[in-house]
Amino acid sequence: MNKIKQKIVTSLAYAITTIGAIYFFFPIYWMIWNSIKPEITKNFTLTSIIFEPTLRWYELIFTPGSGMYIGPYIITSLIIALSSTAVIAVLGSLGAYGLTKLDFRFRDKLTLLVLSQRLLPTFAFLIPLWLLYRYTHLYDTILGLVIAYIAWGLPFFTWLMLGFFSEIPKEIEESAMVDGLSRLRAFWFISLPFVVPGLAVVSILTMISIWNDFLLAITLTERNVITLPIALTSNIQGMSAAGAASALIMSLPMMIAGIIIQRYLVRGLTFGTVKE
Amino acid sequence: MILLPNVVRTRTSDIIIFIIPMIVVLFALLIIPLIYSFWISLCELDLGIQSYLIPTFIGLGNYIRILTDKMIWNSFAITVEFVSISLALELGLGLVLALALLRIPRGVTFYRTIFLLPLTIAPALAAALFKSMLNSDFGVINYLIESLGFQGVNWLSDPSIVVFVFILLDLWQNSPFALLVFYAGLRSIPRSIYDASELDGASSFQILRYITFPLLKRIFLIVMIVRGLTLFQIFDYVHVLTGGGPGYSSQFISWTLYIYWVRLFNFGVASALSWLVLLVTIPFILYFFKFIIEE
Repeated sequence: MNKIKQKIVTSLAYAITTIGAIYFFFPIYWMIWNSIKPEITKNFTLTSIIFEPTLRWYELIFTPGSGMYIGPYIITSLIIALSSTAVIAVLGSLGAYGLTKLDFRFRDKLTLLVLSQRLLPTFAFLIPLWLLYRYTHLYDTILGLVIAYIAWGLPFFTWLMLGFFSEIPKEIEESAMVDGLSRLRAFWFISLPFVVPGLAVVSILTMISIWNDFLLAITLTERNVITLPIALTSNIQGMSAAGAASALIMSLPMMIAGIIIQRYLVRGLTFGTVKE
Repeated sequence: MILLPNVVRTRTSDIIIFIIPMIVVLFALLIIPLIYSFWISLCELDLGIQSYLIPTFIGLGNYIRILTDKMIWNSFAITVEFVSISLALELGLGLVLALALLRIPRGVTFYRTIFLLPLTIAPALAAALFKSMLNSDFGVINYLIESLGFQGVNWLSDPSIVVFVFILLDLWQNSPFALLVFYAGLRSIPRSIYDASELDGASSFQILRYITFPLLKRIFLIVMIVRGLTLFQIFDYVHVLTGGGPGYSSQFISWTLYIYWVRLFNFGVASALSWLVLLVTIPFILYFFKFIIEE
């Protein structure tokens, strides 16, 4: 009796997860389907699922002058995401180390202040930043957007790194310092090697959110700087074949990154409050 | 008391190297702008004014204007409606899938990998994807509906349906959030607790009600707050899907703010609105700190 019940539960569980998987994967499948369909006018039908796939939309989006060329947007997005993540990684690692290993007044208050900055509505700091940018001519420049992303990503980064640094036993570093290592050297040679996996994960999470960002890019840039999310959503009504191919090119690296760090994803999403 | 050796003590130079750079960025780019935006919210500031830096102080005028504006109240109302429905469904769907995932003996990694994909896609792109799927001419959804013999739906031009599209899109992209977090939480509950209560004759429902839920309560609250705060600021979806329309039916609060800011160039009202949103979210943020401090 119990065995039958067990079997029913298991099959029901499989049914639910499979329906879920179809639901979550279907839009991605639709995107792939659109990007390899032979003619731009071809509509999705149940019988058209099997056809001769073509890679010519992918060729087109990488051909300068084709009108669908996305090369410059990719480069802009890459420069912005990489450089702002690099600066965030330096400032955030130093800050997170300081907040966990150093002793000073207001430390706990400062820690909460850091986190609150990521939870507060983005618009509240974006409007004054926009006004400032108009004044300083940072508006619609790569530098301006990078600076904004640094401010936006730093609290999140610092906060997650905090968790990784606090997992290192204090004694290890202290004994090294007693042996004559300076604070900066102790950070570099003792603590940092411990948190390299964490550093990689948090950097990837930060980069995904910058790469995918739409709000800051649409408000702080206009004509000179066009990042991928803006380019792919402003011109394309719905999703043409080339649009789908571009969308896939933009999403694939992030999907792979997400899969690589999936063990830490929960921790990242919940600001370190739930650990797996 | 353990006396720390001198070398381990924190020096001023350490603070300068480690803490100050972060503080400078934080204050220059987040906290000072925040304070400045509060100042703007008390001023009349639009394009007609000579200098952005010398706005005219008008006290609570912008706030009064917002609180007496029917449109903005409507905006708040549909935002709250959207947030509560989406949140409830995200949590429900996430929990059901997490419970199912926990009970399958093989293929967990495969399913988990598929489930996390929507989270990695840019929200703006996800919206564009749904827009093409819901297109009434070549979209796949209407094709499927029509091939089942029903009438196709004007998903984005019918004011009574459009919020439903937002919910559908949000569920697709964001219920994996709740799913993965619940799954992590459920897995941390020792199997022996379930076995013991099953031996005592508890039904599956009782186990869910009296064991799983209390143990999951903390995780539930965390997901609710983080997701709720994000949902309340829904912007990318609106920009790509509808631009607030048809009519005002998808004019969520962030969109209203954006209109006042970027289209009407009324920075005073936009800032006041951003501060109202901030005030609404602050209690939740403070509540969230409780979980942080526990850590």
